Amino acid sequence: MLAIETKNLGKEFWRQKKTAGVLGSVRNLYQRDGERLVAVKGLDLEIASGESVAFIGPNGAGKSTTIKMLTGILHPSYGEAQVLGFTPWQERQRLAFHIGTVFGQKSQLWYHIPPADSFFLLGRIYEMEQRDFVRRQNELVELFDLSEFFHVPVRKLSLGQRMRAELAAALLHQPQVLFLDEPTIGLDVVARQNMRNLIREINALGVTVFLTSHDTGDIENLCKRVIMIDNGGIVIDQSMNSLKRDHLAAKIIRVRLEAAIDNLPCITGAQVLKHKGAGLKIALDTSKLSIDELYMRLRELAPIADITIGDPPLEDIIANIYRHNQALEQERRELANET
Amino acid sequence: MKLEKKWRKYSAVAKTAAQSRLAYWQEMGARTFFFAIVLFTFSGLWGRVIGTNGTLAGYSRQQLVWYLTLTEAITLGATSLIREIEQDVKSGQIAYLLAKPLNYLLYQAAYYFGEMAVTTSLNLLAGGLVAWALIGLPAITLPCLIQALVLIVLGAAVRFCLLAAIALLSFFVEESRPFYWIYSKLIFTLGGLFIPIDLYPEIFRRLATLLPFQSITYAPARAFIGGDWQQFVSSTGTALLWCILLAGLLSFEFSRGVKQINVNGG
Repeated sequence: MLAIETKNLGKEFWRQKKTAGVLGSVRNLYQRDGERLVAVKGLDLEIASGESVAFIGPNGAGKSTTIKMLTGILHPSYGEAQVLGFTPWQERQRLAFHIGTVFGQKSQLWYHIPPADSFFLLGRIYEMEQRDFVRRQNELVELFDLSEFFHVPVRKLSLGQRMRAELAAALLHQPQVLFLDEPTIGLDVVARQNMRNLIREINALGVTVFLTSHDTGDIENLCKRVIMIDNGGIVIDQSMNSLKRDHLAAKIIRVRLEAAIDNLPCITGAQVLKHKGAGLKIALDTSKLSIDELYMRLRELAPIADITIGDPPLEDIIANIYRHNQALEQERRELANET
Repeated sequence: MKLEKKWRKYSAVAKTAAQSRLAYWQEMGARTFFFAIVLFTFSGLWGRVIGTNGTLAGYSRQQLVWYLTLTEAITLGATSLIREIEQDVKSGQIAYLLAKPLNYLLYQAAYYFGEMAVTTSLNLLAGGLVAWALIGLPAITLPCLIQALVLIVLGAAVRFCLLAAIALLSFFVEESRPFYWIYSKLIFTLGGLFIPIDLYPEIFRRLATLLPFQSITYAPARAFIGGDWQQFVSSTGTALLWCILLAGLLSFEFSRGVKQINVNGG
C-alpha cells in the first residue's frame, strides 16, 4: 500500500523584486516588479507504507515546499497528491490526525511549560481519549527515556532532551507517516546517535519515515531509499545501496606493504592521496582500473601486509551529484540563451 | 460528542496559556507596581480637581478612581497575542501550526482568553486592593458586578478581534507595530481609558459610542461603578455587533493571508 503518491506535482511562486535606491523604493510603491519562481516541477513520487526515505537536495531545491504540499499547508499550482488516501490541501485537518511532523529548527512544545503539559495539550488537540492518551504517553516516556525531565519546563532542557521530547510528541497520536525535517540539527554526537536509534525503532514499528536532512549521517543511517531533488525536479530516486554502487566510481584503498618504498610508479586510474614509508592511501577510479589490477600492480612493488577497501563518504557522493547537476543546468541555460 | 471534543481541545489551549502566563510573574509584578502608581497619581489628581466630596458630571472621586482601576486592569491585561501572531507569520511557524488539527484563529482566541483570564484577574485583585486602600470600597451591587463581568468578556472578544486583525497585517506589511500604536492611542482616547466618555464634548462622546474601543474599557468600567440595565443592553448589543463585524473581517483577512503563503511561499 502506498503511503505517499504524487503525480506531476508542481508549485510556482511569485517573488517580488525591489529596485535598489531611494527612487527605486518610491517606484516600488506604485509599480511592483517580480518574477515567477518554479519551486517544484512535475514531481512523481511513490512511497510505500513503512518505507524510510531520505528526501534530499541543495538549499532551495524545493524540499520544504514539497513537504508543505504533502502536509496540506500549500496548494500545488498543478498536479495531484495523496497521503494515506487523503488529498492534503483539501483534507488538511483530517490528514493531520494521521501524520506527525518534527522540524529541527521549530518547536511544537510550549516553551514555558514542561513536556508533560505539552503532551496533555497535544492529546487534546488530537482528540485522544483519556485512557488512550495515558497509555500512549507512558509508552513514549519509557521508549524515549523522558521521565528524568518530563516535568521540567522546556526552556530549561538541553537541545538533546528537547529533541527527544519533540520526537515523542510527534508520535503521541500514533501517526502512520512521520515527516522529519533536519531532526538532528545542532545535536552532539551522542544525542544524534540516540535520535537516530529512536527513529529507526519507530520505522521498525511500521511508521513511514520521510526525512529531509543535510546530514549525510542521518541519511545513511536511517534511510534505505534516497530521493534527490534539484531545481524542483527529481534527480535521483534509488536505494541507498545502488546509489553508492552507481555513483562510487572511486574507492579509497589503504595499503600497508611489507617494506617501505620510495616512489610509486604512475598508475592510470589510481591517485595517491597519502604516502608514508610502507603506508599508502589511494583513490581508485574503478572505471579505469579494477581493484584486482591495482592489487596486482601493488604486489609487484612489495608483498602486501594489509589492505582495506572503502567507499568515499556519502557526503562526497552527494556533493558530486549536486555539482554535476548544477553544471548540466548551467549548460542547459547557456544553450537556451544561444538559441 | 464532536463538539465536546472541540471544546476540550480549545479549553486545554486556554489552560496551557494561563499556565504559561504564570511563568512571567516578574513581569506581572512590575506591571502591578506601575498600576499602583497610576492609581495613586489619579486619586490625588481627582482629589485636587473635584475635592473629597464633590462630583464631576455626576461622578464622585471614588467612582472615578474605581473606573480607572477597571479600565487600567483591563488594558494592562494585554497579552502576547500581537507578538505571537507576528512571530508565527514572519518566521513561517504559522505553516506548521496549520499542519495540526486546529483552527488557527480559534487556537489564538483560546490562547488569548487563557492569558487574559490570568492577567486581568490578577490586575483586578491588585488594583482593587490599592484602590480600596486609597479611597475605600464603592457601593457595588450584584447586578453591577454581573453586568461588568459580562461586558469584560465581550470587550475582551472585541479586543481579540482588533488585535488579531492588526497582527495578521504582518502578512501584507513589513511591520504591524505602527498600527498597534494607533490602536493603543485610540483606546486612551475613544476607549475612555482615563475618564468616562460621558465627560467628553458631545460630538466626541457620540463618535466614541459608535466605535468598538469603548466596548473594551469604558462599557465594563461604567457598568461596575453604577450602570443600569438599559445601558447594559445597549453596551452588550454594541459589543456583539462589533464582535460579529470584526470576526468577519478577521476571517477574511486570515484567508487572504493564507493565500499569500500560497502565492509568495512559506
